[in-house]
Amino acid sequence: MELGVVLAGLLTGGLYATIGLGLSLVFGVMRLVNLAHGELIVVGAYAASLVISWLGVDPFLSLVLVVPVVAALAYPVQRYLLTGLLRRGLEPPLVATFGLSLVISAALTAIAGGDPRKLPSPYSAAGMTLFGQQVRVIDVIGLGIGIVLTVLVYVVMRHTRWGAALRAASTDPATAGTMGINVNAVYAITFAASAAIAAIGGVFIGTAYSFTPTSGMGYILIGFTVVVLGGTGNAFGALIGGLVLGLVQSVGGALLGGQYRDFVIYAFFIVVLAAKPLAERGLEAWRGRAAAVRAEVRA
Amino acid sequence: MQKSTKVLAVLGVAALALAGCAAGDGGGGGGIGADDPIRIGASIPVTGPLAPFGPIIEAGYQAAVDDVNAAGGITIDGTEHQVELVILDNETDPNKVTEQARTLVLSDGVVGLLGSVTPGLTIPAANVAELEGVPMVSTLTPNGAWASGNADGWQYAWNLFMDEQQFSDIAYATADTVETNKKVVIFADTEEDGVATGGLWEADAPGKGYEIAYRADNPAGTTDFTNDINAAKSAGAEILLAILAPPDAFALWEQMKALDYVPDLAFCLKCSSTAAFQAVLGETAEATSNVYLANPSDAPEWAEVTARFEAEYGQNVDRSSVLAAYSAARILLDAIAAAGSVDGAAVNDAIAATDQEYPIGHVRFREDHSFPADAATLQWFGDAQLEVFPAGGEADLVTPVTGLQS
Repeated sequence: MELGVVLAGLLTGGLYATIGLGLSLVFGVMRLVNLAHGELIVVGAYAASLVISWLGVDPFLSLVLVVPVVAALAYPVQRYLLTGLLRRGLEPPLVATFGLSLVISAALTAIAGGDPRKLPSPYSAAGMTLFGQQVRVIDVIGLGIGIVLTVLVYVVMRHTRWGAALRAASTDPATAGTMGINVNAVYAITFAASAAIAAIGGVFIGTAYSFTPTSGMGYILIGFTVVVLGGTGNAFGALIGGLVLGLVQSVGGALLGGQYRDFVIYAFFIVVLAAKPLAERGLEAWRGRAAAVRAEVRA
Repeated sequence: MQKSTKVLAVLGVAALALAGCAAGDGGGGGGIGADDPIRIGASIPVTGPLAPFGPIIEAGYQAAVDDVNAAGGITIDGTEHQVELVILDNETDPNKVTEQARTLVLSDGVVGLLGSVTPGLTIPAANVAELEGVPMVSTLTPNGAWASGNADGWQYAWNLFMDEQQFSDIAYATADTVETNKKVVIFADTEEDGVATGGLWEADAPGKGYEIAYRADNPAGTTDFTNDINAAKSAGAEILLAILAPPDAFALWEQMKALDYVPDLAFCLKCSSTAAFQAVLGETAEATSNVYLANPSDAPEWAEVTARFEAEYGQNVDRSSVLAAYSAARILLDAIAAAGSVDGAAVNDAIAATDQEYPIGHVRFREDHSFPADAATLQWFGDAQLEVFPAGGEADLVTPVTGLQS
């Protein structure tokens, strides 16, 4: 296998990790399947497009405005719509986020039209040499973004008071509530953080590729695959899931031909879905046996 | 009481049945009220990957309708009727086209359908036209793929665009004028037109003295072409033939530039068939080629229309596409006027008899209901596309693809 194929897969995986990270965060904390996550990515791209046309700044500099704005828009959606629906089970918020995805897509079409757009930057078509291979600068930036966001989310979740509150609200919301944690606010902030991550992904996609109001659907499929591969509520899981997906896509495409690229991804997705519970059960049984042996030895 | 309920129920069912008959009659082409407008309609991509085509197609159709209305409308049985255009957004989803075409015919009462873009979006509507006996005129859909959409031959559907063979003949003939190693890379998507045209390029290459060094088939929506570009570079392909959806091509072109792959000649069919290609890629689009409709008819009767669209769209594919859409709509409207009726069969006969100059050329349909428009190789120079082949066009062919040079 050529190094270039592996490198291309890992670089693409950085973007996939960013897409999966936001979904994983929301699902891990609230058990919410956010079907509008793809549209939040696209909103980020359009918001950046607007900021760039106003201020003429670099796409990644536009994040200074785009991230807080998208997060601020997302906060009330969770606080005043989705949290209430979550109390009625998993289906109502699922349907609500699907509805939101349609509304956002239609609104963007009405406002911006259906033409593809791209965020202008001098480095989207620039190349560089990495491990002796010619790669795109923007893809390296994408991998960097994926890694930085993953570490950031991990640090916040593990080493801050808010992260502790988030983990408590995620594990046992009722008990967390009695301990003085405002669970509704934690949920809303988590959703806003997920939207902010989506917006960063959107700015990257807008710079590296192109986007239309309906681009979100393709990205949400990638996001779900990453979440399944990497597990939920686990920042590094999303990074690993993204990198594995990128790698499988690149190697699969190189071995079987580009036309089987999607087939390879989703065949792999199905295999992982089927094998993961078996592997977990096997691991659990092995741990049980190991513990029994240790107890026997001690006795 | 019970009896009257039964009577009401029977009346209700009868009324519904009559309403259904009336709708069907309107769709298949029957009479039209004195004050009713004549409705024609289309299901086109206003959103989705082919969204850049939607507003262009709609503008062409609307302009044709406006021009006919400005001239007094269409006279049916001595009464002048204004024409109304009904447009539905199929979101680039072929599954929605059938349902929307049926809605247009059965609910909106259109007496003629207009086409979309690509076989995937045009053929489903043509099937509805056949089923409902409503004439349909389409364009921006390659003739071969369109004709193969109905093995028995189309009865009510008509198409005016280029033949796939023109894509191949003109691309290779253009390449003949450049000194290259005759090694070709094909980038095709797995949509109907990508498969058909990609296959034709590959099949024709040996006979035309070219070698397919590498072929990349990718599903629409692919954004990472790194491996394919590296393979094309390794294979030393100096001619690139691509047929991709615009967003995929934007990614491919930027990645080629980043990875230092600069072919001598690069064709981007479908992908650079809207001005969005240059608007999005900017300088990277410079000297990219396309086989597309040749310059419009220079017949004096269409000079004003051509000038109007050129002022709005510039001198590029968008102008050609809008004129093609305008031509399709005018052919349908002229046929309704010639038939003096909205009856589907009568209008269809009038379309068959078309033998007239339109902006797309002098239209006379072939037996398979298609019309092959003149095609040429166009190259991007700034925001204009100029004819560079056949020789003696508006500009000289530029090689290599300067937009891809770092």
